[in-house]
Amino acid sequence: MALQSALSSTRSIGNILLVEIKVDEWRTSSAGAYSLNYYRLADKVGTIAVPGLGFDYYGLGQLMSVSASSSEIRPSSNEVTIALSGLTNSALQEFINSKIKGSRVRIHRGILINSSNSVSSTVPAGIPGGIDPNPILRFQGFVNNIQFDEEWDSDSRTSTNTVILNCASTVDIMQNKISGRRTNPESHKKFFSTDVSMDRVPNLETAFFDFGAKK
Amino acid sequence: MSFIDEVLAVGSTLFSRVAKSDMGKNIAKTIALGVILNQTQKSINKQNSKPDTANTTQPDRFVREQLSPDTKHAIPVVYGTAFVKGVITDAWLTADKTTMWYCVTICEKTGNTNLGAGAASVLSFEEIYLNESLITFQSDGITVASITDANANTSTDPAGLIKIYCFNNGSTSPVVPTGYVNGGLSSAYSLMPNWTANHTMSGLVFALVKVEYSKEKNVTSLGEIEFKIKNTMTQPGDCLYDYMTNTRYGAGIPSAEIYLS
Repeated sequence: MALQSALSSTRSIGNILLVEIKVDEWRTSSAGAYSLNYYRLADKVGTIAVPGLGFDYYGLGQLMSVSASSSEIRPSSNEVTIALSGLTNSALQEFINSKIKGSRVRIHRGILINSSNSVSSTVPAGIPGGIDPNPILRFQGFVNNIQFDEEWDSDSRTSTNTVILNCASTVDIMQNKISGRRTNPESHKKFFSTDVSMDRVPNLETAFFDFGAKK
Repeated sequence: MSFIDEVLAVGSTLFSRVAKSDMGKNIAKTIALGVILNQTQKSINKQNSKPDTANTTQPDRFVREQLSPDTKHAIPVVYGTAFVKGVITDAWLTADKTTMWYCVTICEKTGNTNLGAGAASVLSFEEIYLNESLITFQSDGITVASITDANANTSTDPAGLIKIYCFNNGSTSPVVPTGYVNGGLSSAYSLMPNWTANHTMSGLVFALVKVEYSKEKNVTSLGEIEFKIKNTMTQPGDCLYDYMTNTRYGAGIPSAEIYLS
């Protein structure tokens, strides 16, 4: 009943996509030092408070679009495209100068009620049987490609920049990953640089041993 | 008088009436030549049938062994229990050419149990097979005592000639197969010829196999060796977590990015 009552007083229910891009090597200029930075973006206008994740997200509204992804019971490989448009020159420089490829991407879907700009941890807040947790993780993966698009408006002599991030899911990366050590010195020393145990493997491939021969 | 002179004399007597002619001499020479060839052949055959007493203390005909190490072989990861054949990653022949040492790399040493927070996983050698026959060791857990095939036929031919030294986490972690006890085990680099302390075999489960040549016992190479490896990490969640997070043989996903609850 509490849930029904809470919902009856709800005027509107909306959903919001919350995108977090963790850039390990971020900088604003080509000569600057790298540092860790997070882009936390939402597809709604304004600052979006997300207590469930502990951060505020910067609302880009319609300037950010996220492609559809399928939701399946078993983990599957998905690719999601995030398009960011209307970027300022300084923001564009950040993307150019930072190492975006390989950055971790998390996309959450949150439920908003009554056109609020706060994604409550449970919806309706504090009512058992509602949506808990809010938001929920929809996609987790890594940026595997970045594209820069420029649209030039000759009348106003201005350009509009769009950055498109192609993101592969963690499952996809695991499927493509060539994992583990191989029995050769290069592969072995990548993990243990001073260990010479595999150094003779290439030579052994062409070696003969006269086992039991006369002295 | 040699047998050649005898033959010539006989020939001369037989053909005395015509000895004065060249014909008698020619016939005598032909017979003599035939006898010489016959005697020579017999002599050679006799020589060949003699035992080679000078070489009886040396090993028999040797085996020219070419190993099949593979630089592209991916080292497997074992959770639970599995049979692994391993791959040869080093080999040495001693100066007297009667002993071969092999390093057989088996699998990776895995991480900690209980989602990385528990005790270290332990890999043990449950059984070892040589040419599809189960090895029984002497009490030291190293020296082969006998092998038993699938039809329960036991052979002691390789007894004492093959020694298998097991290691479950690099060169300084010697162990013996399950069921054996040996308190005097040595590091791998103190056993394997030409190895130094830099041969650490880090993070690896492996075995050193010492084979002494014996033509009589038909021990002339390593043969096909297979290990039954058991890992104490058996819980599905532990295995999945270990494989997802390990940066060496797994996906390398940071543990902070995995929801464990």
